[in-house]
Amino acid sequence: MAEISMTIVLTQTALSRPEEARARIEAVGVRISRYLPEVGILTGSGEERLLETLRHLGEVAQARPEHRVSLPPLSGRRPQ
Amino acid sequence: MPDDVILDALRPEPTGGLIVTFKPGVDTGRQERCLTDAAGSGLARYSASEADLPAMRARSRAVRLAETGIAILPGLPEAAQETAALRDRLLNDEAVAEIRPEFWMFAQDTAPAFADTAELTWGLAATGAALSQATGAGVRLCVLDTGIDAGHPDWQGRQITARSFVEGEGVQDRQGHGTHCAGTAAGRPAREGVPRYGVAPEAELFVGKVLNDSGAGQEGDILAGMLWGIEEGCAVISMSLGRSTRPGESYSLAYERLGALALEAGSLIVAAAGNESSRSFGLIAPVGAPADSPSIMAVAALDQALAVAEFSCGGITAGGGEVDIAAPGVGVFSCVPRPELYKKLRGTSMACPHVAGLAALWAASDPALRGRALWHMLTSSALPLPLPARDVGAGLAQAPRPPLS
Repeated sequence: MAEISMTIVLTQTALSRPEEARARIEAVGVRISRYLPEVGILTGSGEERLLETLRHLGEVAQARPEHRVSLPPLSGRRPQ
Repeated sequence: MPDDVILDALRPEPTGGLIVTFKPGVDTGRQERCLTDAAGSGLARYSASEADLPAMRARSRAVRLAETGIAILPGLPEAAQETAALRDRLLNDEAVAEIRPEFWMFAQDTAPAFADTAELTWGLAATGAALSQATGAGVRLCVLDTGIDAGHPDWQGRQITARSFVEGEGVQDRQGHGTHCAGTAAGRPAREGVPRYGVAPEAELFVGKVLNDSGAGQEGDILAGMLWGIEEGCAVISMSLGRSTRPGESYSLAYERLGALALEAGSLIVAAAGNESSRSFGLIAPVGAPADSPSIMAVAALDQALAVAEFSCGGITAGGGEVDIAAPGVGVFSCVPRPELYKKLRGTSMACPHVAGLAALWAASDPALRGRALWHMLTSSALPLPLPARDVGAGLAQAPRPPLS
């Protein structure tokens, strides 16, 4: 199973217990790289199958692959 | 080959008629005999001061344009074989120099309504920023991008608060995109030899580097930068970045949560709508992320004729994926890192900081204009355009104007 980066958003309810939610997410196997407890958003990595597991956690409102943003080369010929 | 299909689609369509050019020196009598022999009776003579050409074409087999040595043989689309025979007869006449099919022709793009001058860029003229008494003074404006070249001569003496969210990289902009966007939003006033290009030249600039020196970035870093801008009390956060989305794709809860938090906290996040459209081929791509979040203002790009830019994404996904507003995004002059110093770029990335700068002007004009109130002011004061809201939202963003005396 492929290893991916993922973005996880906690439910509003879980925002009141952010450390508990973080522990639950780590327990399923996600390695957390960044945690913004003020807004209940985490990014981390793990096997792709973990996304489905995360979606069934009561603390998780959304779990998606983390997207990358990429600009084109800086040129007047290409829309930026 | 797909390219051949596209080229074929772009080729002009024939009307079914013919354009005949006579050799120099062929007198009008000889021209008329040639046309009559080939097309039969029903020859008309057109002079610009005398007649209605469309009506003449409709009732004549041939129309000779006086004094030009040129004639039009209006064709009938259903009579292609007759037209071919007519062409063959004319080709055999030694008085004829050339015979070509007539094509439908269309007007070129509208002439530009705005252009750069020695004093200011066209974007500042179109948005009214140059006429505004507001400068952005006292307002915190955050640009999340590739960082900034704070050593650029135009940033000398300017207070800039910068932070990098990219691991292992400082805030120095080595790609150029961030410096250009910051320049449009908050660059300095005009100086000798350089027009004014900054919408809010006295805004207090915050720069979050969330894209690396190659122009790439991870969502986690971008989200952290957004939170930083909100926590720093920035009234405006400009995000000329994003990724493409699929039609109907739901928005990211992460971006939406930060957009909503920003509005509650008195910040407004504006984001580039995206550049994936190819409008001349009929393709309108959906607004990208994070601009597709309902609580983040999506900015489309306009050209100097105030037409929607060829590449600008459109609001084809409901529930946040709408375009909210439009701003100049073609031929945008601004600063780039040393040694190049200046560059003209195009894209919704260039439109977005125009709106961010305008938001800072509004915020400076009235301390009550924060968050949702600022959003409402920007959209309600936008100049309506004769274009679909799908493409330009409320219209061309405008600066607060001085009261009429």
